[in-house]
Amino acid sequence: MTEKRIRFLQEKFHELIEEIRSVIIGHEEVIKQVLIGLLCGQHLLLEGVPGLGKTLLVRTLGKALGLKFARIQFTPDLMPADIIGTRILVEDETGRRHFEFARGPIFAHLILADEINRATPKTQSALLEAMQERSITVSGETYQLEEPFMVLATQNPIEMEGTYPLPEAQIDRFFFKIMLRYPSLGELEEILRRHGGVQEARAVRQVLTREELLEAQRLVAQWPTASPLRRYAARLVYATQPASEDAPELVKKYVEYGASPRAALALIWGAKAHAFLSGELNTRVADIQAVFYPSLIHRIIRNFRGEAEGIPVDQILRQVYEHIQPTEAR
Amino acid sequence: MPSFEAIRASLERRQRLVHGLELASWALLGSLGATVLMLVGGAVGIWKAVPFFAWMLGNLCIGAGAFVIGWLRPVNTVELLFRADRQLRSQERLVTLYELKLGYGPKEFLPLLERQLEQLPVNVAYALPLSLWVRRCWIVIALLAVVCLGMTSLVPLSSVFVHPETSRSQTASSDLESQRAFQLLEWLRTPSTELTHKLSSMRERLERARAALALDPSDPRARATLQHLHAELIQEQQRLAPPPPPIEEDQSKGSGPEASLVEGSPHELRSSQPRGSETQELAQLLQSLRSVSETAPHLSPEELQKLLEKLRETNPTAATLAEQLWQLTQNPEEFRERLEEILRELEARQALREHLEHLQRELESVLAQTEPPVGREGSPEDPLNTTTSREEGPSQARSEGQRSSASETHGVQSLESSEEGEPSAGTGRGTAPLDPEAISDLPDLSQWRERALPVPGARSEDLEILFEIVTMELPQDAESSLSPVLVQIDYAKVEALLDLFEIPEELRDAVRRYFLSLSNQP
Repeated sequence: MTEKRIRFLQEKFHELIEEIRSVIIGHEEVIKQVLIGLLCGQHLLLEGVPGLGKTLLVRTLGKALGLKFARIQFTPDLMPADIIGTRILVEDETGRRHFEFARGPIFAHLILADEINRATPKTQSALLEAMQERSITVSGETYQLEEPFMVLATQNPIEMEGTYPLPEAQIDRFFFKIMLRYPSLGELEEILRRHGGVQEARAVRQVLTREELLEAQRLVAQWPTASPLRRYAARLVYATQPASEDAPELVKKYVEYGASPRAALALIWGAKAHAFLSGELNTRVADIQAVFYPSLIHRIIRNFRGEAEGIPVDQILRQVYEHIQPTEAR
Repeated sequence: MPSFEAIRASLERRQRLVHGLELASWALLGSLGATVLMLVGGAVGIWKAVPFFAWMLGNLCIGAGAFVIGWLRPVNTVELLFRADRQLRSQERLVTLYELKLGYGPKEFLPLLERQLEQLPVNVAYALPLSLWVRRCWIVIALLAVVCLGMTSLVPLSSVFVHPETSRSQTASSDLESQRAFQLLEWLRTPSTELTHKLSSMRERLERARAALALDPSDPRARATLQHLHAELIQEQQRLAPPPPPIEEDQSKGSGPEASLVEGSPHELRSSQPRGSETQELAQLLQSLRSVSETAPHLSPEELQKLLEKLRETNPTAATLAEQLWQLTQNPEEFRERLEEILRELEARQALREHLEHLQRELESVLAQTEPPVGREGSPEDPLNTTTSREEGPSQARSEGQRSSASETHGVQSLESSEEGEPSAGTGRGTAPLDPEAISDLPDLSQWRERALPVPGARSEDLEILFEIVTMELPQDAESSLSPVLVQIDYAKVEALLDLFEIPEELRDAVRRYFLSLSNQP
């Protein structure tokens, strides 16, 4: 791949960011993190109070990429078949009846799993299995999901009654957990000015084709990353383990389980994608640091003491971040 | 802009330098700290002092060794480039490029990153700076070095060669012993071989003069040679004699200014001390050192110290000298070798001294045989025995006093012997009144002066001597009594000038005779 091609793809993603920003006010970091997930072909968990633009963000992204977009509103009575599809009895022209697989909304490129914690664990598991395998099996038949395939699940952190929080093992399957904060006053005014209170993504134009996205994904996968950076990422993740020598005090005191190796992979892949989006030609320490929080925040399991004392995970992670220096000896 | 390889090479060199300086700083910090402790310990007398060259050389060796070891430490290039990247804020391009060159990662990124690197200004010193700790270490090292130098400079310079520190803590008497020992060592340092050669040449000249006198007892040239040899012998004896011992400060000061007025300066006191005692001292020193040299190889350092302590009671100078040698060497073998060298030198000087005395006796006998009969009353004695004239009576002493005052005016010391019969230092010049007989033989010197002055190639100093000779008051009448006009003569120079100047043949003998006649006068 030539530099020209690399620069072209980077420019395309820059345009994509600008296109999304024309609809989404604020949330620059969130947009970037969503695109990082997209470039890595991974799934994201968005957490924020209702009305912050989670659905709008995903819909805008789908439109800007020209990809098939599906939204699944998770409710307690949502069944797995409602997501993956079901076999239905169909009568043909000759009057013969046969079963035919009716594809569910999961057969899309971008899926918004809205309020995933409202569905029952059974339904959640069906989605998560599809996310992991990138294929579904119905009545012995396996259906491959088309690339790119990306699930953006949202969670409402305030309405916990009647919800089924995702188990840690399933949360770990999400590449990033992106926290959406409330917009600032200025951003809120800008939202009112630009949209007039009506959430519409109609004006979004497609800036990237599916092929270009897949090409960018392949490029990011082989993005040059020096070994000291991999070591730095590994040390960061390793320091979240309470038994680790490098673990800071908060980790030793309040963490039950640290981040998994999948977190280290997320850190490196995310850093590569971040470097790509930043217009660089190699991964940097700054890229690792930029994706440190979204990669690890949902992968730290506090112990009873940590939960009882209400120690926030991001506080623990901040100590890890400050404790581990890039140039320290192994 | 430099290529990546050039940047990498310079970074590696810098890293080696930093490693070297780091290790050297640690090593020097330790060694200089130890040096300070040793110097302090030496100064307060806990242990022996460390000589300047020893600690300086030791620390330099330690520092240089540590630096070399640090320089040779293996360099992890990946780590190095990563650190440089972080320091230079070069977005980890150096390390990524290096790994891409090694084959890790997609090759297509290589030219892209290389192009990016070309725009990167690389300051190697900024990329790999010396840590603050190391810089502080070097400041401390500099301070320690200054402290060490300061402590060493308190020690006298002589301590560089001979043991330095002990004298400070010793009493005044041991100070004198140390000074005396050092004085003797310095005296022994002057090689005696030169004197041996000179002695043999003097003997040859004596033999030649003696042979010439055998043929012609009145050969003036041979007699002049003998006179000159005599003067030289006295000089050499002076040089060969051991230096006089130092005078204790309290003693030299006396009880006040009056005492110094009466007793004279320390120098005078020193020169007035009899020479025989020094010769005796030298003999005792030789004997004591010989005994130490014979016993030392069989003794341990502790036993040797005891022996020296015992020796101090009988011969403190020998004990101090041996002790200084021991502190200088710290090795029984080397100690013995040095001691042997000193003993050899002492013995050689003793032998030379005897030889000189023998030669002097021979010379005196030859001079006595060739002495022309003295027909004048009150004529001066032989210049070798001028001291006897001082004891003859007040009237003669007065006339002598006039003479010696005149010689002092000219800055010339007349030949005189010590009480032991040993001659004191002299310049080789003599003083003598005019001999009327010799003058009567002299042709018209005023004419000769006019002819001799424009001699080419003559030095002003030489001309001055001739000028003194030819402008003296010459009596017209040989019978008339002479006023005691003093003439200053350097015999060797006269001889040389006679050969050098183009003095007419018919005048040369007359001039020589004239000078020789002067030499017969006391």
